Amino acid sequence: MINVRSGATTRALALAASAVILATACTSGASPAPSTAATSGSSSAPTQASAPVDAGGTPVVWIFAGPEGDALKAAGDAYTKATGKPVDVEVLGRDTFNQKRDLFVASQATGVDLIMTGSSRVPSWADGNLIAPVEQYINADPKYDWESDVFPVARAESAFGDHLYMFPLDTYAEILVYRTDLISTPPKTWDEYLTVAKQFTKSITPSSPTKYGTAYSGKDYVPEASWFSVLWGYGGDLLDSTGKVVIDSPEAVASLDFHLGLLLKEKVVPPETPNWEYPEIQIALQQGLLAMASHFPAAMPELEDCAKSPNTCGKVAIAPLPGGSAGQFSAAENLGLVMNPKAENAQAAADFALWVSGTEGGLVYTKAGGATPRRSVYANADITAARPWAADFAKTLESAKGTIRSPKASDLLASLREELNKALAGQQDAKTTLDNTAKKWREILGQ
Amino acid sequence: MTAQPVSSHFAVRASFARWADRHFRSLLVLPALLLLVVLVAYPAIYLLGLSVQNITLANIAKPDRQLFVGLSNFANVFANPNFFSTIRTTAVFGVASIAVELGVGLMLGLLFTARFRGRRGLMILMLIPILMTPVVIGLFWKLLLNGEWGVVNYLLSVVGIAPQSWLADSSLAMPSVILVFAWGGISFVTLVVLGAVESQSVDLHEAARVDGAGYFAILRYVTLPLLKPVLLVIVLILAIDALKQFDIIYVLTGGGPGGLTRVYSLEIYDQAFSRSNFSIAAAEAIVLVGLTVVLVAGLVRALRASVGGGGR
Repeated sequence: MINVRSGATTRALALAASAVILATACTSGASPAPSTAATSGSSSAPTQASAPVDAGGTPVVWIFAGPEGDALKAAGDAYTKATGKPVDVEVLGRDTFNQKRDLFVASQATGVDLIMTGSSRVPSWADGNLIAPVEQYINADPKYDWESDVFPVARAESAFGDHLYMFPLDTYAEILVYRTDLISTPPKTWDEYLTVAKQFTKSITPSSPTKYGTAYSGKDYVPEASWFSVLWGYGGDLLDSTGKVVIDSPEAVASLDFHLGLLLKEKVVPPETPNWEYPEIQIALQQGLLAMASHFPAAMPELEDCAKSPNTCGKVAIAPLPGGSAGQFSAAENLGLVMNPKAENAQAAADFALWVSGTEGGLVYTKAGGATPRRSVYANADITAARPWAADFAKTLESAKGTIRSPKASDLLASLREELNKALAGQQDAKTTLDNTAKKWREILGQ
Repeated sequence: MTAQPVSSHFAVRASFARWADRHFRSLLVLPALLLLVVLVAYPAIYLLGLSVQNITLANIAKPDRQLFVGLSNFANVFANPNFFSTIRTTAVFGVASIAVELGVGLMLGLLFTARFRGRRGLMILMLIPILMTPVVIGLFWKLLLNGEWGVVNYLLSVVGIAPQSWLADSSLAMPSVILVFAWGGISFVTLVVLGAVESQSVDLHEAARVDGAGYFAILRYVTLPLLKPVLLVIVLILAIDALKQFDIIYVLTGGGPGGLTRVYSLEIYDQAFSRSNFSIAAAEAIVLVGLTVVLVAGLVRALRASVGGGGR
């Protein structure tokens, strides 16, 4: 009996311990997670009619790490100081931000009210009722100068259908960064661009002080954007005004032929271009390997910092990318804040979004390292003093173009990227690349 | 009047004790089983459900558009030209990386069985790749292999070899990716081989030596045959690791140039996160699980045969 009792006690204790472990594991996994709606067919879909609620709490904002994250964090602090209203800006790791953001949006969860995103996501999310329209907030704020102050490309990219879905916060567009000690007048046409690039490529001009004439990004999300500027300059386009696929037009083929030729035929860009993106171009400029590059204005503060960039400080400037027979264009990527349809602090979130993307907060955000797409910000004396190239960048934004405004944009761009990568690796020519892309696009769009 | 409740009390306790005795082990396993169901079975069932629907980012919030599509997603997976090209790339990547890991790891493992000066220090150095996460390995080597300012090209230039575009050149990208991946796995093989060799019976080696066998004869007729089951387990682990490899390749080349290093995991990632086709990605993931199961079953069979053979 004693043995039985003793054994039973031990077992009971062991079971209790197991139950505690299980309960602890379950609790620790469940409690901090935001409540999520079911993602299966039984979930109740948010619709444009179901306006976000407002619990009057602190709005939560998600953004990725980097200059934009730092700037929004600083702007959040300034907002709280100026208005007394709290805001929780959560800066997430840049590398995995897109995956986390997409999964959060897809899960239709609560816990985050505003999310920073690129405008290319807006059509599919808006079409899927995964983000809430925001025009009611913008229209209700008479101080929010939308029509005359915000650059046209940022306005267009914030909309889908008949609604506005994004508070435009940051717009970047590829520009030409060039060495002023080597190039007195930046090239205005793509032909001039090639001539200058050859002049500063050592393998073509042995006396060149730089190894390569120019560079562009060939990896990840930039390769198509780098080519778009050439495409539009040559008079080509992706889709026509009716949405018909025209990416395989002769103009488009000629523009891609030129773009690929810089790498494969003329060899005026580094051979590693297919594996290069922003950081590699930045380092190459800092090391004095390049005379110019299709790059981004965010690079300028570092390139002008003599401690970090002795080879470029005081001798680097920006200009709009060259143009072609159809004009000069840059592909712009707009970043902005979108509203969770299940936002628990919608009005407080909108108040912050209006402030930070408006003239006052936009200035704070831009001074902190961002790039608010407002003319008044780029005309501000403090900004032009700190960024002598601000006026040139503003000029670029005036003629910048957005990309595809279709719910299928992600799929279309992924198909294009796949084909472009093959072309950049020398596996197929421009015509084959665009014929293949057009075929895939027509399948995706049902044309 | 009082005797009956007492005997009833003891009867209940005895009955509970018997029940607990019978189910004690099962009850102890229950918490782990429940965790397994929550963390493995539920996601697996969810994945299966996802793979037979048509869910994309655009329609996930629209229940009426989440149509049951049966096995058509699987048909789409096999109809996708990327399927065969990425499977082929994965196979090349897997076979080559396992060969390098196993070959070099085996040699190093055997080398470390010898006692020599600096052995301990070298073994600590060998542990470094194991301590690094795949993403850090990728970033580390991306820097080293950079064509313009990478250390590898600098060292080659010192001996007069022209710089190479290790990660962008069509003929060099795959070998570079394989070597970087293998670098991360060699230490694992070395440590396992070292442990296995050191646990082999000294008597067998001594007996062979007494019979006049030299180092290579002992290696061929004693050490390696006894290592065979261990090597098969290593191959099993390396094969699973190679099949699901994503991080290092994503960081090094992103699947480029021109898709030449695009392994199957990258295709799944592309479907899920670039194209937001969650259902197609789920179907692709299930196909990967199927392929892994087939491969593992084959290797386990070989392992059993090997162990059985060793016993005879």
